[in-house]
Amino acid sequence: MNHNTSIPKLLAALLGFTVSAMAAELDDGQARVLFNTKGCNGCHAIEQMHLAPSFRSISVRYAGASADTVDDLAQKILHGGAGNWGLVPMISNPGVTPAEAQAIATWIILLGHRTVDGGPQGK
Amino acid sequence: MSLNRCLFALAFCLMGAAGSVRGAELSGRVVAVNDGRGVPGSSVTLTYGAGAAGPKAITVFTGEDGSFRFPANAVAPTAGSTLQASKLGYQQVTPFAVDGSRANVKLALEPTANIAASVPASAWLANLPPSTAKHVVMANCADCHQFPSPRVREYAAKIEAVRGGPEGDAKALGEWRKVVRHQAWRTVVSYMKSKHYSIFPDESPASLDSVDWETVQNDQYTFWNDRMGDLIAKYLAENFPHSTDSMVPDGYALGAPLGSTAATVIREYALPDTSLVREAIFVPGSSYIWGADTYKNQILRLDPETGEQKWYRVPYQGSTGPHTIVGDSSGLIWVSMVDHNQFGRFDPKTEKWTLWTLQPSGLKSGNSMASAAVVHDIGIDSKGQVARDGTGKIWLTLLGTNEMATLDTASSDVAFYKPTQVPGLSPVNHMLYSVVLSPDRRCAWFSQVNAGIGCLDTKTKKVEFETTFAEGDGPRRMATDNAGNLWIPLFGSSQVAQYDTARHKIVATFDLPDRAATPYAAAWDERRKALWVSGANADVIYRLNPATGKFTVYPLPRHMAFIRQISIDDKTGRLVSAYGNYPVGSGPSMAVTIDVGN
Repeated sequence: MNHNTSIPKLLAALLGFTVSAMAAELDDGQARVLFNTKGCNGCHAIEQMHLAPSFRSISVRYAGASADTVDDLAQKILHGGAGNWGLVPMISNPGVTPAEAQAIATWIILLGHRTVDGGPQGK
Repeated sequence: MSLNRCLFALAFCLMGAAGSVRGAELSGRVVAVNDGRGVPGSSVTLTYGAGAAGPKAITVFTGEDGSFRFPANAVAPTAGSTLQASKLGYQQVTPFAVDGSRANVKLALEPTANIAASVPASAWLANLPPSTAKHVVMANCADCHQFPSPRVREYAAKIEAVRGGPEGDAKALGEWRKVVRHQAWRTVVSYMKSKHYSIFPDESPASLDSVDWETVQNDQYTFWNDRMGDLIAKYLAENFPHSTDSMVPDGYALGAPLGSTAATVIREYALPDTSLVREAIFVPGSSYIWGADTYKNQILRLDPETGEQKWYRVPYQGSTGPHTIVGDSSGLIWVSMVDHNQFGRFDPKTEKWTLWTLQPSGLKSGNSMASAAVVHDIGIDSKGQVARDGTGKIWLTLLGTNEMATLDTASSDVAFYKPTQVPGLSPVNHMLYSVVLSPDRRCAWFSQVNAGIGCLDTKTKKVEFETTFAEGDGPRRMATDNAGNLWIPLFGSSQVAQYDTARHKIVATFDLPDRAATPYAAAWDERRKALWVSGANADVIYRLNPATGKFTVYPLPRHMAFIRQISIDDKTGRLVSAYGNYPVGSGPSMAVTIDVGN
């Protein structure tokens, strides 16, 4: 598991994001815990399509994103979506706080081309 | 100052002084706002503000004239307390704050044209005709939480909100919409396979983060197989209401006469939101309520008078613990653990634990649901207390391996036995559930939610008198009376079957008043010669009079009141249970007691 926080922070700085302190500090280990405790990994994995697009796919779609995009993605994490990736809508996640949603959205967008050791569900 | 004013001032002072004492007067009447007449059969819930000892809320019911009275030993309302009158089809005109004693409170109800916000989860499916597919849906989708819960209904609305179909062709759009619904519900079914694992905390070896995806989605390791999953998705795609925003007043009814009367009192105790106490019981010789917190691996001791809570951690390294909790005649408490093949006994007097490991041979390697015994239910007698067979052994069900186990608590000897094995079902698919010992201790009656029931002879260890139920019927937590009857709640079909153990046949089947109520458990009440049945999905408890075959209904004062096991206090006849929606946080975290009133 990669607990290095410097890459996300560096990328955030390079992209000029205005993200919360928590979002900037979310390392891979913290992200993995959030994915498990909040149930994200019930549908999503980092590399593979499970029941929903992989975080990698989402990262690619939103490459070059602005701060607004982070907000949009965070809103989708909180409230769900209506089939933007196909016919199946995404559930809402009332157990996720807005700060956590921002942090997760930032982590996904900053995933870029780096590799992550995410355990069985990270593949 | 006139005499009246003096008396009023005195009364006002007394009201203020009564704010933190018991024995306060709190009474009044519920009236219909249109004609001023009393509303019979309305519940009235007093929800305490901060600082009150005891329950968080007390509920009473109005009599024929609409009057109500809270029990004399109740704590007087503290600052921030409220009174809420509820009756299906009505809504309270204005909120009612109460602080201290009050007599002659008047609560006004008005009829409402939309009862969607006040009906239980079951209401959205109750009127759909019985069918195998519906029963499979109910038996599986209401397994861990009410169905359709508010979140499910919200998701169903999202399905209807998907855009992008063929425009300008209504027929094609209709067909496209069917595809959307089917795909979405199929995905939900697969997501629920994930949920089998995501209920485990991070540190559990069975946490979703620790299990590979192929295992997660393997239908051999889940409570339903893929064929059943397809049935579920298809049924929901074709039958789930396209909108749950509104329901007309006659869209749902309790379906049976009220059992609750002006003498009925329901007390609800708030538990931490981070706990998941799914079962709460009385234990002989103890004045406390005892509960099993599945999520935090601990048991609860709750003082029903003061509300004081004390928690006892189960001393093993598992991450998630007590599923089932049962007392015995000597006052000991027995719990089965979800993790690590553990079974335990707690002595409330010494506060000491004894643990046993029940590890059958042939467990699969890895972290799937099939790699653990999942010690589940404990053999009980007609009182709902731990029973021992003729040789003193305790009987248990192992959900993970579809096996029965005996435990000799003196020697710690453990043995395993095979109940019915149904071709086409994996061990977990059977959902081996409850075990009830017959009064003569000859039969360990077991139920398998996706199969049927049978007697495992406690001497020969052979299965006898198997009875297969229709697919989806879902026999779950049974009870035995003292007249040779086995009472079988059919979770999926929302019925109760009466099995005559002398004639070895089902002699009657009773439809619940709500055919989506999903009766999780039955409990025999020898004092009242009645059967209590949990309406897990309908926010109610039912009472069946075996002599007449008629039900009465006791509405619970809370949404998502997912009642499972019902325990009856030997001394008082009071009922106790808990609201047990899985996973943690998906419903109210509360224990509940009911003074039936007769």
